[in-house]
Amino acid sequence: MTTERPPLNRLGKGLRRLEAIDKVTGRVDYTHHVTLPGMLHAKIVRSHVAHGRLVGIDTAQAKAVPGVHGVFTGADILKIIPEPYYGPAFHDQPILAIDKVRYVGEPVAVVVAESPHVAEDAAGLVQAEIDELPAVFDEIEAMHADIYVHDSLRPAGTFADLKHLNGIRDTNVALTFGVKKGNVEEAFKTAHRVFRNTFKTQQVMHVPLEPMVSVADVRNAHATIHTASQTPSFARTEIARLLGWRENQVTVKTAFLGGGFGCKLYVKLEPLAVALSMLCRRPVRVALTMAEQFYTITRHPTTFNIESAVDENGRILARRCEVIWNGGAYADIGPRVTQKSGFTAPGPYDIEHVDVTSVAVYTNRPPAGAFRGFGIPQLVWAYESQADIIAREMGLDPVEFRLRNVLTDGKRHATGTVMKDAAIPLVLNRVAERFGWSRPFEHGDGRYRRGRGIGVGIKACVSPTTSVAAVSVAADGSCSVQCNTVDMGQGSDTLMAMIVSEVLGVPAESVSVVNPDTDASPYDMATLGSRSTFHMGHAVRLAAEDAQAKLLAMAREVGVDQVDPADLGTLFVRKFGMQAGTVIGTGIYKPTYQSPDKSTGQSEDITPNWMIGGTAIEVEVDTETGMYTILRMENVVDCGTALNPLVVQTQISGAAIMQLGTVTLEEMEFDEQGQLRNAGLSEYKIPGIQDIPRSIGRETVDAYQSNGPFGGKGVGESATFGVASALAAAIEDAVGVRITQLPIRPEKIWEGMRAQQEQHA
Amino acid sequence: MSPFELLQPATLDEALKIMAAPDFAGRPVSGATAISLMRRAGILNVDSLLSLEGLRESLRDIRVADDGQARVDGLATLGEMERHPGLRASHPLLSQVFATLANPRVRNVAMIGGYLSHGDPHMDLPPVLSTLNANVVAQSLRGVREIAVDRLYQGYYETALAADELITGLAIPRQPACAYYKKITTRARHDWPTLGIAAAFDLDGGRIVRARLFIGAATDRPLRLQQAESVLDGQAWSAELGRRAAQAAVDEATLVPDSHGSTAYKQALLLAHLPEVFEQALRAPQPAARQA
Repeated sequence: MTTERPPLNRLGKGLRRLEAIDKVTGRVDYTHHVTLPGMLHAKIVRSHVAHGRLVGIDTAQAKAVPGVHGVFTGADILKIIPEPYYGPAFHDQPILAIDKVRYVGEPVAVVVAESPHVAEDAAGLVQAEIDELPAVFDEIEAMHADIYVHDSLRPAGTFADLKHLNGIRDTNVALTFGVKKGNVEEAFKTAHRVFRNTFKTQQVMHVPLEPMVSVADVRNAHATIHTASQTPSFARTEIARLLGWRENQVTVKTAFLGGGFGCKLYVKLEPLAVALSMLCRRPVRVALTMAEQFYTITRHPTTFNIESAVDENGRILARRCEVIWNGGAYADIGPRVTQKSGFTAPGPYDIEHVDVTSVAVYTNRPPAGAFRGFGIPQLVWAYESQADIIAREMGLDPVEFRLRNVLTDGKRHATGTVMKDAAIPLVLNRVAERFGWSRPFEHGDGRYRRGRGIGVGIKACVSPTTSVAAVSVAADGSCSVQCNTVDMGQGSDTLMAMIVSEVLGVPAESVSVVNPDTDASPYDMATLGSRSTFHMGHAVRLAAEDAQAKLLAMAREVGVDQVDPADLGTLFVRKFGMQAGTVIGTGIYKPTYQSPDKSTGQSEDITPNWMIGGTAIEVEVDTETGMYTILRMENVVDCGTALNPLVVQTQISGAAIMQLGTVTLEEMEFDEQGQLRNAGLSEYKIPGIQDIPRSIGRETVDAYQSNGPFGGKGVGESATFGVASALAAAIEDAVGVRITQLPIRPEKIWEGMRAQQEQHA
Repeated sequence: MSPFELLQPATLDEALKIMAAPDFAGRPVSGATAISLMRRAGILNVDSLLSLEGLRESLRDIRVADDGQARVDGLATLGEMERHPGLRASHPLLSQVFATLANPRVRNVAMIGGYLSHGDPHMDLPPVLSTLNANVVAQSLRGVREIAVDRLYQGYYETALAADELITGLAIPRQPACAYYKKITTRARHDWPTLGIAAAFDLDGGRIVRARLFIGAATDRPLRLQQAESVLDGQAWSAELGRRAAQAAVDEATLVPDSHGSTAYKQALLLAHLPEVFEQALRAPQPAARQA
């Protein structure tokens, strides 16, 4: 490492999350606690049909229930919002269904009542008459079917690169994005070996233990929204757009979230809550049950066709990637997943000829959007699984095969961007060393067999995005941070306080970080994609430096030589004659970026940083039943400088365990009519304490992000990358069964072993 | 969950009178762990719940006799059974089962009578208590009768209880020397079982006698495996005997697929784990001989 690393005072040493005690003692305020005078409760009536024409909705019985304030449909919403369609990439999602329903569970009406119980009871009395249409659920079928989920595409005006899609008809393809480099056709013709594989992932849900909730209070041409949201700034912009109002007529306040993981992004319940408050002229609370979340936002099921041309030395010469993202009925942020993650489909490898096609399609499933990893876990699952297949068939060690091909700093990524501060080989080597990869491995020969797998993945930080922050110094010298980064459990408040401490020298524990409130704190793109440490970290750093400069100026003005962080109040007394005044420092951060070329996907500057994660797994499989136990899991990431090592450690294990749930247990199960069979935690299982590996190793490599704040970058997703392929490889290593579709259930392994026995018999 | 009427009788007699009324359309509840979930999911719609909480003080006793027989009142919680020193000594099999039955929060409120009335085929205790030859005490204004646990279940969520009957007690005979329950979950560990295998037997000169073998979560009710029992009866344990018993079990049992596993997979689980259940039973803690 040649980059100079300035010494750190506060950062780099662990600090327990500032809100930890309040959380474990039950004193933290969540949006669920918000109660406003006169507040009404809403219950959503959902479509029981996956695709159909909405003929009529009979609300009379529900309206007659005592305590019901009103029953509303799409027609009522249209009276107050003429274009009631929302979405970050496409304005395709109606607040309540209009004319058509597109998935089972889509909101078609809503009952508003004095109590949530009355609303729920009455919701059961609303009758929606729907003429059923043929539906399409599978992403491959949707590409070619003559069943169209939407009559025409409606891209959001905010994205210039989607404009050409406006009004396109007779397709379920929302977006196609490509990366082209070299001559793939030629390379395949002359290759020593060609590998063609297809890998699939299933639909899963984020399962935050705090279900989505929004409370809106609209009066006097001002909307105040309390919402469990990862994007207060976007929510303000989008609500203002829907209403045709100025942004300053909308206030969005959030609180600590009981988990977000990407499901509380953009707008979800906010437009409905606002519309209902306008219709009822009362504050209205819309709160989902755990089960209803499954009908709101999910993770994309995917099909990834990956073809690789390899030479006799195990070098990958060319790779063709076709990734199809099943976005469900509404685009949400799916087109951005398709593009911003799609370009990493060739993996962390140096490949001369590349052809990536990444396609977002509509189907009649619940919508899919951002989910911890933003599409990367689905991609790594495929390209690292294929790496294992290639290595096995060519008789190469899986680590050695990867090291022969891995991208190193200075080489060009498939998009043309020169790799920098991406410690891919280091991460891979450290995972291997921690695991003891080079030591002899005992597979066992009895009923229980052991196997091992390893892999590494990369993610580009979503770009270009902007963060703004303010750091205020009160007249007694105490400091607070105003920023719209939402602390949803990832410890961002604590990190921002540490950054202020680093710059101003005040104790981190004394810095107050205010809850996001669009009236009080400035713009931030979103809390997503592991972008906050990098972007908001810079903005808070700049704001603190600005405050420091202003304090220095004030000191000079009042004849003080040095600014003493322990006694900033003296400056204010000297300047204002009493404990008065405020110093406000501001910071804005937006990294450089170059849009990819429309036809080739090439860009000199596709991302401000790369996040790297590697995993190795040892598994033991029961050859009689396919039941398996993960004996240990090693996770290593490159997050540059670990700015708060305590939180980094839990982000690594948290991300790996969450990913393990989607790899081993979780799957939304639909029947032929598109009815979800397992909405809710009794049938949709996430990992419990007994399901996690007995040993989970965690490490951050010695790396430095030279354009990052204090050498740091994000870490919330990196440990999700390598889990799926490492487990599948370990199972294949143990019992010879190759799984290509998630989740990895014991019965599938058992079926594979049985098929092998029949072949040998 | 929508509002409901909550009836709170103070005595068993009052409760039975309410249940005997021809117009009573509600449900008795004790711990309400299952009923609450069913109501929340919209599977069960009743406007009236009859709480048995007021009866609990007089109907929660657990007694273990000198001969190793146990009687448990219907409103004892699973947690009270789990922690009862006498029951732990006399029926170590139950202690083993409680460790993985639901979770401490559920065990601390769920009561044995309500639990056994529920009739979900995935529950752990019905096959276990069937193996132990236990009876429930069913009471109504019409009188008291005992029903063998292995005859209590008649189908999916169906029991032999009449609409006016409550389970007020459980009678468990002495636990045989060897007993074990294997709960096999194929999704999360805390999930409902894909298959539950319960076995109990005595040893006579090293030979298996009076073997009783039940499986749960495999059909609409606990299923006795009599062919497998007869393969084992009178034989000394060996791995080969285990394999034959397991094959007999697979041959006689009609297993029903569900979201946890297909029929073929449940057969594979039965084949793989049945011998293990007997091996574990041979090693399991023995029921204590009680001091006179």
